[in-house]
Amino acid sequence: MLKKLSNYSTEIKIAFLALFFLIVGANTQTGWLYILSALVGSLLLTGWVSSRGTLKGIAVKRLPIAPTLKGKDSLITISVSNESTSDKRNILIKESIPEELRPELPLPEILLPDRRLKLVIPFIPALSSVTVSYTIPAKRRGLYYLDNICLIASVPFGMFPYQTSITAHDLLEVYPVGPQPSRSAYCGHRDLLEDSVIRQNGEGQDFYGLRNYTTGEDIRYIHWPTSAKYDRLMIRQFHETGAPQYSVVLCNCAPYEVGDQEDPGLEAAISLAASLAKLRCEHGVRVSFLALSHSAPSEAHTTDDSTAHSEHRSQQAASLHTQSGPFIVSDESCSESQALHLLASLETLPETSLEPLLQAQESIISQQGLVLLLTTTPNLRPELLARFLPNSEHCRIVFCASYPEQHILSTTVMAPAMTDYQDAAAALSEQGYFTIIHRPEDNLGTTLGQML
Amino acid sequence: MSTNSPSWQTSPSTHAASTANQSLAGTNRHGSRSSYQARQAKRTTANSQAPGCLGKWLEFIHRPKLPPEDSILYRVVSAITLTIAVTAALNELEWPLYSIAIYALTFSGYVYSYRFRFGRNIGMKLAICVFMFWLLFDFFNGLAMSLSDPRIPIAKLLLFLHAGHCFDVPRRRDLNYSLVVGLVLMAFAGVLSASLYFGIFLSLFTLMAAWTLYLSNLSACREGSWPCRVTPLDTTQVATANPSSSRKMRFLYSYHIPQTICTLLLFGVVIYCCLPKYEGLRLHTMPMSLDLSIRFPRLGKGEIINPAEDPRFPSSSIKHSVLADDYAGFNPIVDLFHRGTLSDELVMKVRSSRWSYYRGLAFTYYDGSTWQLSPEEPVEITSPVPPLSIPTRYMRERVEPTIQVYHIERLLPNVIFASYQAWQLYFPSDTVYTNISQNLTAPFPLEEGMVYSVMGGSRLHNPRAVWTMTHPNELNPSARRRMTAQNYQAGFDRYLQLPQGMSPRLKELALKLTKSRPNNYLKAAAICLYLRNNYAYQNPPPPFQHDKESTEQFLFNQKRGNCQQFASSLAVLCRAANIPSRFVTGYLPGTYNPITGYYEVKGSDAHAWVEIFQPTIGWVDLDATPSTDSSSPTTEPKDSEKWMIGNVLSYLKSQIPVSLLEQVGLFMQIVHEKLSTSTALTLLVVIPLAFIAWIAGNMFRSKEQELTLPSDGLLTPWHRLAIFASRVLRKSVPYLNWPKLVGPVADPVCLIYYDMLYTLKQAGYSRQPQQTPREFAKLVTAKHDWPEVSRLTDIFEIRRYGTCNDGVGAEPVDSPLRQEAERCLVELQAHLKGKS
Repeated sequence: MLKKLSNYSTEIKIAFLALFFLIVGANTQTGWLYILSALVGSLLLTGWVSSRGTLKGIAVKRLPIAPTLKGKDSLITISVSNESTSDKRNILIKESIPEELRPELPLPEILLPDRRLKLVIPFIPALSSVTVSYTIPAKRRGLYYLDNICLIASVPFGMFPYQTSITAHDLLEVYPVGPQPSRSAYCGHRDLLEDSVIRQNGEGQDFYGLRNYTTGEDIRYIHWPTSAKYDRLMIRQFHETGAPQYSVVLCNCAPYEVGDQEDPGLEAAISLAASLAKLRCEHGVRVSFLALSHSAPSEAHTTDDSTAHSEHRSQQAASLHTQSGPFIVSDESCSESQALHLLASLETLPETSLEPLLQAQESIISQQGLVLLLTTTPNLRPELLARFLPNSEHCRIVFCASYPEQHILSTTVMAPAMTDYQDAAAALSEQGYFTIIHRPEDNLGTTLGQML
Repeated sequence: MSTNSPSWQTSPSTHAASTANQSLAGTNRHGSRSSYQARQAKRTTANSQAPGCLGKWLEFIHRPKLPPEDSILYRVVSAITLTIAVTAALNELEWPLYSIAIYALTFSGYVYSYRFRFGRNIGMKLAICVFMFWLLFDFFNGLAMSLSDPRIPIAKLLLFLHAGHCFDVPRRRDLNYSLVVGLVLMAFAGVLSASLYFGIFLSLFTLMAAWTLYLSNLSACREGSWPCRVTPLDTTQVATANPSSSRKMRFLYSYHIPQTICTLLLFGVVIYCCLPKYEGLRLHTMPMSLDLSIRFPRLGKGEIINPAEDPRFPSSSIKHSVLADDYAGFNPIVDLFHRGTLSDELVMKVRSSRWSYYRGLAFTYYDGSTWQLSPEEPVEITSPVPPLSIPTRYMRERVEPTIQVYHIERLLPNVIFASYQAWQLYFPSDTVYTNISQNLTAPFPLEEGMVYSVMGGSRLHNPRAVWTMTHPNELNPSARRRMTAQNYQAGFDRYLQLPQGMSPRLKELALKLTKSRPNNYLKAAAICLYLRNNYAYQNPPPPFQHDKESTEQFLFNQKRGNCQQFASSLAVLCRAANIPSRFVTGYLPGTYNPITGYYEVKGSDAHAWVEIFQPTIGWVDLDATPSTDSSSPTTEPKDSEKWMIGNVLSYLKSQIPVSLLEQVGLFMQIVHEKLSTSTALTLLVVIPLAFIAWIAGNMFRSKEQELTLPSDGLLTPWHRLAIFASRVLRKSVPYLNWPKLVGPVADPVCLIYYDMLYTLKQAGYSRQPQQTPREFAKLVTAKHDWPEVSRLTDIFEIRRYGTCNDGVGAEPVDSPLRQEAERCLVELQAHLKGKS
């Protein structure tokens, strides 16, 4: 109650002033003070009535937000419609931006305690709509849910600000940015890539199934009869028999608390994976991703429907609380956006069982292809490593962690008690199968080229 | 200069660039904006490291603050608002020298605050601090010099505080504080003001303050806002939705100024009428007089000095001693056969904490046709500084404190008007005079413009309280002793004096009326009631015989008279019943002006009444004149006057000329007597209602129909009035958000279509203004299988735009189109009912 009253401290002061004038007027029998008291009271009443009337007939919706890359600006657009027959003025919109993306606000925190973006709509004519567009820097990779839009009106005198919250959930996707592979290392594998492209586009494709079409895919593969039947675009998916494939296994767990900060190791791994996703889109190389996630795989897909978003959020929250996880998330599609969506959704998990990842990895390794193990944990014990690397010729390991190289080698590969694996690990390292990077900016292009 | 256009920056980087540009601009002017931003950044990041209270204080000093206000318009409007308030206060105080200084300081302060709004201005702040300490010292000094009247020091303090504060208003919050200072100054000026001219200042201040608050809100919205781009989606809709935007009145329409001002005033009037009107709370430190230093030459030593005295007659011996338009009751001798012709000229304005008569003189000696003052010499009361303390002869028990401020509006005798019992007097003289009857006289006549205050008491006439105060069982021992001893007899002979040869009929009547009454008050009240019920008021009174005793003529022969005859008769009958009494002259309370809070007393409010003595209570006043509202000169306010609405209505009623009221009364009497009830009802109710209905019908008349009206030359005045009213109302329909009626509603087919629209609206399908009837029908039928909607729309279009539309004239009842339309509507309603 007191907190609610504190929002109206100015109005309470003015009301006390009116009451004071009334008391003094009664005491001194001054008629003008009665009038002054009534005028001040009228000021309050007018402010109260007007601020409530301003938001009548105002409809707000959020326009779809285009995914953006990390480091770029993200454009957010809100459509505000004035369905009433009177013009509206000075409507404030307050946006709750996720903590990770929140820009530096124009005023310090003590003056903007709610830390929300304040947008001003100076004027909306009657029976018309405006769009309010603003940009925020996408500082951090991830999937961010924008909450309700808060509308505030306090016209004409700034008293009794009336606010209402309108449901307008939406997903802001900030995709990771991958490095360009090193030219010298990359060219050595060009033949292999070109070969895979020829195979994909030519003969030797077996129909595998249908799935939803995503933006950017080749429209030649759209299955029009099914699309017409389900009223949405469906695209054919093919088995590529004999084509080489890359399996990227992201071991995104850490034995330490990351907190709200970015894990540099995970970011480096995801950057590499994003580059691979881009390669896949450009050259048609089959790349599948495996990683651990808090949420079930089916929930990690994006949709433009706000209702679905809210359901998604609730399911995600429920899964976090009721199911123990971790889940395996994978992507075998040919769409870069879906792969980036998957990568954007990954987080560093606390130290957890890698058993689901191992099982999924074993099934992948049973197929033909090259396995890239991008791991952020230094505690990848030799016995686990042995399970990851049954066939070292088809595996590449990248340790993405901010630990010293010696520490990683001593705790994982070069464990003294496991002498049987020391030779194997040394051999791997000598052959270039084993790479350690400390920071995302550490020559990722060269690393990527070497991996390929 | 602030503008209402949105900021069209598209990214924070652009915003930063803009800020940088502003920084550069600021660097050129006084080089302070960039330094201000650097200081702010430092404040945000650095925390005070000092421990304890010092650290907290430094933290408080270096707390982040809102950016300075850049809007010149806001500052100018705020300065104008303040100037209005200062002018209103200075106008009441009449300080020409201070005015120049305060105006100069205000103007230069606002200019300085704008030019150096980004600077620290430590030197100026120190100077303001020193200035304020000096003001505080001066205030306490002034307060010590005039403890009785703190308003002058307060006014000085407030005005110079405001002037000093003008040099330190860099931010919006500071400008809002200035507005509060202006409001306090207006309140201060309102306390001092006794005229309606203050309303001009108040109106201007209200308008400018509302504008200031509006601009303040704009500024508050901009503060800390994130740069964004606001783009209209469809400009064609804007143009059609607001056709007024292309007119000259666009400013008024688009800024909602008329709407806001009307709402403000409407709410103000409603709140004002609903306010309770309490009597004074009796805080004894407020009732002061302005400028008590005025001294007038001493012209007498307590004797009555009446400037209206007729120079042809010496006042001591002559009965007709005043000029034609003055009251003769403020002379040493009151002639009951001559009252004077009283004008409606304003005599004085009185701010009183309660409704009561204003007592002037009390007369003790009665000779059968005149009342005369007590012959003793007046006693001088002197005090070098106000107030003058008036010795009170009787106890103050059960006396309600009353505070009154008198503003003299025309030359009056040297009689100091006061409440029933005055204790303290704030008067522009160090000497006043009183006598045994508690008459207060000044050494000079009361000049126009003179102001004085009286603190005293009024006695409320509550029968229960009087019974409690007079019944022996309810009295304390000392009071009972006083009452039983009847010790007032010795000192009160003068108040029982009657002329020789009084008629025994008077004595008999008095005893008859007071028989079985237990005390003086109830006896006098019985006589008073008898006079009010059995005698009529008439002014001028019928002719009296000068050689006969006037009271006897009034009571037994004429039975009509003015207030002097009634008061004199009451006093004489009381004395005949052995009740000490005296004849009192003064003024009625006058008309209460709820706007200024003053009672406006006219010359015609001069009046005479009686004071009787009741042991254990003291002197109690009674009024026997039946034309007055109450038999008590001091009563509780009526229920209707306990609220402002009652006072406003009373004041408005008092402003209507008596002649007009008489004409209305005469008209009503004729209506009542000459016409039957049905005819009167027809005239007074049906015709006005029919006229209103006519206006309403014109209001919703289509433009086509309006064109068919006769030309202006053939219109009657009533017709013109109706058209004008209908145009005004029609224009105000969208403004007031009343339901819209468009088109020729007289056409029944169209009405049926509107019924269908209403029915569909109830079902959740509302036709948007931009939709054509066909588009709307298509939208509805696409969702529901309601073919009657399309059919009815077709009929409407045929009727409205088709070939069979004759423009005017109603569709016949048996018209196939109409029947079809009705059938469609019935079917649609059946569909909707079935659906629900």
